Amino acid sequence: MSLDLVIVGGGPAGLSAAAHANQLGLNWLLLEASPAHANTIQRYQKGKHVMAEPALVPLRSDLPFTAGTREAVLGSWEQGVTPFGARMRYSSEVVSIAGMKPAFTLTLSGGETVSAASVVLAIGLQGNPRKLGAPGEDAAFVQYTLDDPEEYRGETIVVVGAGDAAIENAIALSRNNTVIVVNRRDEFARAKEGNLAQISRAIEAGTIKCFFNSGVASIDHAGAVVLNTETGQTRVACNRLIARLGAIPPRSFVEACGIRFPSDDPTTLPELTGQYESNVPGLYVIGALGGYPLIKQAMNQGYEVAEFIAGREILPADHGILEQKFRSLPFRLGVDETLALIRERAPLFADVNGLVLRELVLASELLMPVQGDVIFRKNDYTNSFMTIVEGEVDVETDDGRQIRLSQGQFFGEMSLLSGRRRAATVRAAAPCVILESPRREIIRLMNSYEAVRRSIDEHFIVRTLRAGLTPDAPQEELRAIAATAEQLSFKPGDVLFNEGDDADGLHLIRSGSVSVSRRIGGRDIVTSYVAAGNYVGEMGLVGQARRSATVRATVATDSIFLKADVFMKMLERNLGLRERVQETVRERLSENLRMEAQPEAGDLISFLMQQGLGEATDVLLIDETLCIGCDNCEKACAETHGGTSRLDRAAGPSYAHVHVPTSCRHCEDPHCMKDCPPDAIRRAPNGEVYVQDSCIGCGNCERNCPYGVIQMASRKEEAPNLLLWMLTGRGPGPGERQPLADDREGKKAVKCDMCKDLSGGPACVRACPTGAALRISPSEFVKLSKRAG
Amino acid sequence: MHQSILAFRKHRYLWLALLVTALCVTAYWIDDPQEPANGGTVLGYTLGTLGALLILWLAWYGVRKRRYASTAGTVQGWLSAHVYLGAALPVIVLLHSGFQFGYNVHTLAFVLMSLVVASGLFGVYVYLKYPQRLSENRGGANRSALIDELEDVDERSKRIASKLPPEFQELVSSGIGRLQLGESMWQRLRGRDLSQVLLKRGNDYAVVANPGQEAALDWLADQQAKCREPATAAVIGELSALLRNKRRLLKPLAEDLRLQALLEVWLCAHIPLTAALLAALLVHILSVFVYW
Amino acid sequence: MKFLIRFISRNAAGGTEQHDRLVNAPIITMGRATDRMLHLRDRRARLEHAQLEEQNGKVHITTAALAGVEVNGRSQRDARLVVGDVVEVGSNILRVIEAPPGTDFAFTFELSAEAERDTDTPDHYAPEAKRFSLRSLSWILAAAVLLLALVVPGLGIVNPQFAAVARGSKLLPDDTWWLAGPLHTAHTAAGADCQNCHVAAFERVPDEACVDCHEVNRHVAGDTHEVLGERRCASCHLEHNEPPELVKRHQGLCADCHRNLPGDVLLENAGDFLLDHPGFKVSLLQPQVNASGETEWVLQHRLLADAQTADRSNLKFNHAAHLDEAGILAAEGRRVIDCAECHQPEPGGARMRPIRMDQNCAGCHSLNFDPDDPRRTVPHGDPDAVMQVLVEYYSARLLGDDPDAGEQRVRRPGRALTRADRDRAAAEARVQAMQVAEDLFERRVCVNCHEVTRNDDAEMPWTVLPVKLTERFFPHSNFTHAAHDTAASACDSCHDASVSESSADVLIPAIESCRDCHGSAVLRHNNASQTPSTCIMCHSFHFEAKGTYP
Repeated sequence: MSLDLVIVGGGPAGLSAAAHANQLGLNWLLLEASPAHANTIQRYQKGKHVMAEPALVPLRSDLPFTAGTREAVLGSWEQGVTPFGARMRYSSEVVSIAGMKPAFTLTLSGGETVSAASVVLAIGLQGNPRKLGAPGEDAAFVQYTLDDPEEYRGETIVVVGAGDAAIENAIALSRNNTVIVVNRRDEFARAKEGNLAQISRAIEAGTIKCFFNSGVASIDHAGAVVLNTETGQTRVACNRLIARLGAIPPRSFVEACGIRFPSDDPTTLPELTGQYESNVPGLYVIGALGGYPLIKQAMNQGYEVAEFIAGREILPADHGILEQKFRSLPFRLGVDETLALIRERAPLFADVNGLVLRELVLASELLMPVQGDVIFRKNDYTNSFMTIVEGEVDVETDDGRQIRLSQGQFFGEMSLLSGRRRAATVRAAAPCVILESPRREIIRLMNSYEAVRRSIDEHFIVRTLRAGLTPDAPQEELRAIAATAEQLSFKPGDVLFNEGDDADGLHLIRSGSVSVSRRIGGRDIVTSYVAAGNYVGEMGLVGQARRSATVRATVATDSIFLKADVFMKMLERNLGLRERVQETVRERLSENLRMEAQPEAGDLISFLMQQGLGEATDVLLIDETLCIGCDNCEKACAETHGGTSRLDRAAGPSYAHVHVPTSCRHCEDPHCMKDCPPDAIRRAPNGEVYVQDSCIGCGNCERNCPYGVIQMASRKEEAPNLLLWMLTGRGPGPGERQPLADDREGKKAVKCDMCKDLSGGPACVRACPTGAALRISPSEFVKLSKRAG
Repeated sequence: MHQSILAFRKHRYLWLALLVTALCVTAYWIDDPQEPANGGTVLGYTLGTLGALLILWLAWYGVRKRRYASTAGTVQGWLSAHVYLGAALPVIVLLHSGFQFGYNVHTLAFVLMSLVVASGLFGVYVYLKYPQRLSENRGGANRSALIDELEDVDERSKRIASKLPPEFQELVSSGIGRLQLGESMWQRLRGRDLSQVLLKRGNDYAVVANPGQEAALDWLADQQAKCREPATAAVIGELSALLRNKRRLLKPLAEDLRLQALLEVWLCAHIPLTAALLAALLVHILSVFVYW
Repeated sequence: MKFLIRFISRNAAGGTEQHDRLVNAPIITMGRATDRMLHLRDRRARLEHAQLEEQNGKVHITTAALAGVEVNGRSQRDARLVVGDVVEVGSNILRVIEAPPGTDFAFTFELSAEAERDTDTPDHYAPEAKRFSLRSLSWILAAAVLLLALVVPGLGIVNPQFAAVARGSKLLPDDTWWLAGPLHTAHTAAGADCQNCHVAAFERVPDEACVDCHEVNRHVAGDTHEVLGERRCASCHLEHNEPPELVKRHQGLCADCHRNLPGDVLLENAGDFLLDHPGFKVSLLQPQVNASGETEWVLQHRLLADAQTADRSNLKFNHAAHLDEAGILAAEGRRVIDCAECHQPEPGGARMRPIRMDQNCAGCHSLNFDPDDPRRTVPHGDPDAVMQVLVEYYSARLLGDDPDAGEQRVRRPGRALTRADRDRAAAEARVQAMQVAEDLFERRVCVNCHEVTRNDDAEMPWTVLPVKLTERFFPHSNFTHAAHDTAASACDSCHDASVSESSADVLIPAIESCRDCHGSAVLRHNNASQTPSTCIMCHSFHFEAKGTYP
């Protein structure tokens, strides 16, 4: 007999779908590749606290789910699904899905096939770990994950792989075991700086043995592995083999099923209807794969999809929330109508998938400022993206002019792209309805929809040019120029152009920052530092044929390149425009000359840039001529933040007595925010990048931060009364608090929040007895360097 | 930008301290008590109270420093005030005493106070002088980097020694194990390298002082000279090269420890004496009123 | 002695490695100190933990530390070691094993199991510097101060016997540690025990404590408090001060009241010697004739500056004449005399001795009456006695039988005196005496210095008015000549006797002359030669005759 539906994937979404399908009396089957349900969550570290975000969305599932430890959550689901017995099929990996409603054919890795009327894809994004692809790859002592390195002692362990995961495992294991690493290439190219340094030192020191340019030929079940090395085959006996070869992203599989993606960007989501149905009729996609990384959302979708398949109409779980959002709007329309209205009014969203738009709106705020209200101020650190659904706003530029934006247009893209402070103040010119969308949502949108990206970039270019260089240039001409613009991106240290090159155009720094240096007396002297939202190379536009300086990216930098000739034409057409450009050019030149006067100052700046402070917005610098090494800054940080210090004073390099300790510099475009499943890392209006309680301790931010200023820490014991401690010394002193023995919540990410919740500013600075600690923004570097010079 | 505790906010607290001192001195000058100036006159009591309160406030710095959430000024501001007002204290107390001394608890309190202030002033001196030296000595790096390098050298020398006869391994491991740059603050201040090493002389091992790895290097040079096979000689040469490297690294480390100790040692006097002073202050006040 | 040390260590892979060391030495030292043969990088080990040594062929483990070393679980300071013995050395284990050939003694040495487990090894290169805990040191110092300076001396207050003990012993601190200043010598006897004055703790010294020993006069009659307010002895008298001085000499103490006295007080206001002080009043003895007609002497306060003020002592004396540079006629001829000739200081030098006829005058002023017989004098002081001496003298001359004693008209040779002769002679002598007396009283002797008047008494017709010299002109002042060093400064710098011709002149210097040297209490009012002078310099507080404190 044929099945009503097959659920592929036994994660939260799949389980919930199964449970409800069962409830509705459908004839269903669940196929899970791994030997247990919720494989991803199984891989969480022990006792880790699982959050139930988003809080305001109600749970809609026949399975229970409340925030709690990994064990509790898994346990409750286990209970929920055991009655289903044989309908839950573990260790059965689906290799292909063919056909469409009502006749799908699924082929399992074993070759067996299953047919069903509908299929629900709930396989998540984790993908399956890449296997060794050698005979015996499933031997008992072969494993593809490592939960706790401390479990193993005195073993000989072979680690296959060259990625960060492999390196981290190898180093952790090498403390108590003999570790042998097998690397396909002759170096660890894919590894992070820190990991690379560590593994190299370990191999240097001989604590870890490494086979380069080698692969696994075969595995001997007796407990040995045969390697293809440069010198031929070698047999290595080992107690354990750990392969960390990354995972196979599910996309290719999904596409093989016939599902279309709007773009090639890896973060793109498949196109889905409001009922989670893909372009293949009867093939539904839910959960992380459908763009819903959070457990609760996934479970809700599982429930809903079961309803849809049973042919019942059901309002999405978020319906109530949207209704609530829209209630105060002047339109007085239903949820779907309002969404339609927004789409219709904002050209930007014209061809955005309905579900995605719904998600966007759900994540966004609807502002209704009246005439004269400030929507955001210049130098605010907000980076949300504003779309005018109704009404008009005025953008106040530096020279006091006002640019009127009207219904359907958007603003705030500068901060959105550059991650920097707001460039201008925006006021409502009339009663407005404005959709304020969080940065990450729009970024995701841009990655999925080329049109959206293009439109936003164009506006960015035009507005940057008008703001700085050519305020009174006619809009359409600028737009024409923008059309010719090309996107460039540079890695840290890359050269945008060299001193003496042809001055062929202008770079708008879209994100990141660059340093301008000139070659004087045989060495490069940094003369200035240009941050995102500004432009370099404008000198080329006022007649100089050659570049007068070298421009380097201090951090990963995107720039928009404008051809000189196009630009020159415009200048010729508009008299007065030229003078203005020359004026700005002259200012730059004079500043540069001033810096050239004192090379040391330049050296200090380039040193700071080397520390990646180019992308900083606020950085802790220590004057070593004043620092007595009392570590009161660390203690202050720890005691004002639950016992864990977010900064390491001693670590970090120094130059000209300026020491850059390991502490967050609140990047313009924070690396840590890039990949935070619960979106727990936020930026406060004043620029502080901080971690919310909703952190699930996944450690992504820790890995993503190139400056190692984020750590995973469990909660610390209570601090004793200060006076009591001073008198008796009982209990831990400042900065000496130990981690709680029984911490249910598990480790969470902690990082500097610039003490935004403390009145009086950063505790580290206020606690420095000698005034050695100082927090400044890069714009003040020049001032600082003058002192050094 | 950065600002030293003395220059804090345009010497704000220097002026305050000078003002207070000036006021006290003038008061003492114009005051015409019915008896020889002493702590018992009206002005005497006033100055005494002022001094006592000042002492308590100065001592409170230790608490404020650790009240990290406190928004009552910055710790730097407090320290600046602590330094200047602390320096003004002896004047106030002298005027309070009317320059009367004797073998009694009152003078004891005064002596303790003077010692505390003196040690404090020394502290100011080192705080202003040594951080720069410390920084110059580290030369852009930091201690942990230095130590990483040393441990790296140790690992390498162990590996090389493993290719040589046991006495070389003894040399290396004992050289590492018996490294002693000063266990106690005092030893560090004297900056003496108390390291020892285990050398094979003839058939026996002898423990030899090994400051700056000298003994070890000499012994190695000796061995290298004696050594017949060029291959081994080369390895020995490698080892002594490493040890020379180590010697080069140990210098700044020892200096770092010495300077750091210097920055801390004065507290060993300042803090306990303060405690004693507070006790003496209590005694002083009580005893004066017990026999009123 | 050949030792074999076998080091056993665990490698990363969990297996054990071992390497041997051969040591040929009489002893093997072990400890944390780097110069030990067996060096232990181990907090639990002592610097010089223990040593293996040969004692007549046997190997012993010995240690100087009282704690000893754990040999087979028993702590010992000297134990012989045999194969199988296990010694705990800090966190290491030493096991004695069979000595392989070529060695005399062998043992294994490894980290104990629990030491293996605790992974927090101290930083090898920059370990936490060892130093005493500031906190405990602080407590010790503070406690020591409290104990020695407060508790022990304080015990004396609650327990007098202990106080005695403490004061007796050299070591124990007693409450002399609390002295705010030296005790005045005047009080050394009383001050042996603080409680004598400091009757109760935390209470100021009560007046009773002073009055116990000192009987002092009131300053004013009546209720003192009413007049002086809450003044205590200690308000004016202070102890334990430097320089040790019991009296506060501050102007304010007096002037605060006297600058502006209440109206009903008869005294004039006085605020400052230089600026606000009434002229001097001298207290003079003045003769007064009372109701019954006889004169009696009363002390009267007279303004010195007043022209009327005169010394009426009934003595005629001319200082000027006596102090004549040319000198005066004396028995032995002319000689110059100075003040000191007659004015001699009393012992202590505060005042001058009273002047007496026989001592100070008689030298020049002899009382002889018969030029033929100059050695005969009349007595001084009693006029009747003078008459009697004269009469007797002359009667003797008339009746006496020595031949050449005056003309003997009455007596005939060879015959006895008749009654009539005697009567005639007596009458004769009286006549002569009268003549001489008149000469003495009215012309030659008495009248020089005394007021002599005639009366109608036929027997004794002269009265000499009694002389009364004022002994203290300023009875309340504590002026002393000694302090003014009469040797150096001549008398006439204050007393202008040299020009005074009448004994009516009061030769006490006026306030102005004092002010030459004595100035205001407030320094700035004084000129170079003036010394600041407060009331208490001349005036005293507790003066007589106003009753005593209860």
